[in-house]
Amino acid sequence: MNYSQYLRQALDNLLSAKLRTFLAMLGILVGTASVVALVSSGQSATEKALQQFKALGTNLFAVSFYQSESSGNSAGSSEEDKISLEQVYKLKAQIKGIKGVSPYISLYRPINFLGHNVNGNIIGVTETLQRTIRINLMSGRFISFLDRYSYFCVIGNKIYQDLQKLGVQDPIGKQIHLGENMFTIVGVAEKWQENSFFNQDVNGSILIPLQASYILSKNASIQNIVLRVDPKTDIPELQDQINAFVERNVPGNKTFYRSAKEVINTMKEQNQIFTLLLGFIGGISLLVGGIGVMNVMLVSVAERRREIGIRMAIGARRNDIRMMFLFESIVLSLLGGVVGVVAGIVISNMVAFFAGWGVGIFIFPVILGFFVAAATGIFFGYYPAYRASQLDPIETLRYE
Amino acid sequence: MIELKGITRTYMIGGTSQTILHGIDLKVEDGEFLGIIGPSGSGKSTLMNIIGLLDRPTTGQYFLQDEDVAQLDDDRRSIIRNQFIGFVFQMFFLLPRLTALENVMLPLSYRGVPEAKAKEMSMQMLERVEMAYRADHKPSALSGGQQQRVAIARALVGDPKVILADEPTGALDSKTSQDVMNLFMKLQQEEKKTVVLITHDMKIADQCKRHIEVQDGRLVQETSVGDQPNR
Ligand SMILES: Nc1ncnc2c1ncn2[C@@H]1O[C@H](COP(=O)(O)OP(=O)(O)OP(=O)(O)O)[C@@H](O)[C@H]1O
Ligand SMILES: [Mg+2]
Repeated sequence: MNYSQYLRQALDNLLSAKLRTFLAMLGILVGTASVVALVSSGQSATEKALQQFKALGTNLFAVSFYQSESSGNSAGSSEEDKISLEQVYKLKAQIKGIKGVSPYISLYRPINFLGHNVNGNIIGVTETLQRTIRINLMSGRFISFLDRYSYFCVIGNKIYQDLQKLGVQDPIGKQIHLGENMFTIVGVAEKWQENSFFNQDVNGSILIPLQASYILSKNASIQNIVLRVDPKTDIPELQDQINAFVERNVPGNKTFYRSAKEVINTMKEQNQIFTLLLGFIGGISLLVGGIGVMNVMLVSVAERRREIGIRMAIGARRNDIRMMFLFESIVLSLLGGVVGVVAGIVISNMVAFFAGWGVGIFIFPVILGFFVAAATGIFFGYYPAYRASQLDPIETLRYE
Repeated sequence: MIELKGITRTYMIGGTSQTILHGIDLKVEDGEFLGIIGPSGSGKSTLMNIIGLLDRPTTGQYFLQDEDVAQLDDDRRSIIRNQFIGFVFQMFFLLPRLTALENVMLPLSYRGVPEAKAKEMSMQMLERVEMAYRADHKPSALSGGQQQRVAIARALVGDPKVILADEPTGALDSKTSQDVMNLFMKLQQEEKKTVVLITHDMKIADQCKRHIEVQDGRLVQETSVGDQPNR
């Protein structure tokens, strides 16, 4: 017999035991559907996360500076170890791949508004930060290049809400105490989307001109820079160049880097593990379905002993018998697989729709679904088929 | 030509061995019609299964067309069964889920005959056993005699040299038995087949040109139609 005959035979045999076929198929269907649905959902969650990320721009690159313990000056943070704003601009000018620099300084000072304490951080920033990490303003303006040492500030959305609770409708022009100093609010930010290149929460912060930070705190120093780089830049090379610059200008510092490429890669890796885990959970229900197929096939072999003997008597080889049963379990599993893949796509799209992840069909889970369904059919069908092929025709043909 | 030399068959049952056939020597010429009789449990079916290559003898030699086939591997034996041997059983053994025509086609499909051709050959065979008008009936919709006719068509469709029939009339009434027997004899003469037929029915046995008797796993008597004046 050839493969198309085996296939036809399998279909005939499956159709003659419809209920049993249907029940065995159901197990595979549920298993395949859960594999496809879970893996698809995992993928659309990943896609969504990456999308949010890519919206920020994959050309971001963060540098952090730490004063190394072993630096020559035992007195701690000495002036020459601190990176100045001028040095940051020099860095930008000297290294070709750097398109923009946004240095910032984090400060912790008590914040007071008309006698009420307000919880929040203070960040000294430059005008470029707004575009780099996408801070949208509700009203007013952002910190400007001209502000320099002026006592102006922009408040984050959470701070704005806190002020509202204190009865302030329009905070623009109002005064707020940062430590000892009075700052005038010139802008209010909209809710800000977190960004893994900026290690502070803008929503709960008050942004002031970078130079003004030095007035608020003697110890203030630039410890972080968000760089915009040319997308074609070779990241390790850029890191080497920055290291060399630091070595030459502020030798007491160690650097730590975060690049978008790197973050996206770790994110992808984590999501792969997550998706794999989901696939594994789906796989368990497929395993149960596979055991169902095996059970049905074993029953079928037992019931059709006589048929097997007759076929052998008229010339079926052991391989013909094995193929007959193997094809039945594969066809069964593939039918369940096809319907399961469709069901899985529908389910994952429903999940994606309600989670706001964006609807779509992923190729990988579909291929995976067919593949695991077929593999289940072969794996769990093989043993019953093998048993059938090893029957002794004499035994099966004796009258019982 | 079928030639058995010193065939024995021993079964192992729960650790003890039991010998069912004790050194059978038998020759069946091409085109012969041989009947086998003997009491129940004497080993007739066991012998026929060995002739039909469904079973292997424990010892002894079996020449089929001068080839020693006693210890061939499973695949080889399947192919020989498919091409040289047609089986007819007491309980017909048609596949219940297939139609009469599909049952007849089965040996051809295992031989790789294309479907259209197999259909045509099977239909012709059904005509010869006068069952063409029931070609698309399932076995359950046929009488015993009709089922046995279909089974005979299945045994003959592949044009085998040898037909082995184990009590083919055992489940039929005497009138139908005779019809089936007549069909056998007609086909045997027209097609020059070698037929080996087991029966309990002396009336049937007497119609065979030659018959042998098996008792306790031994051949005890050979009778040819010509020399049985006492019966
Ligand atoms: N697979 C087997 N295992 C053990 N014993 C067997 C086996 N097959 C047959 N026998 C035994 O061999 C003996 C002969 O059986 P066989 O079927 O050949 O008899 P028979 O002559 O065909 O009888 P009947 O006329 O009733 O069909 C019986 O005692 C039977 O129990
Ligand atoms: Mg018998």
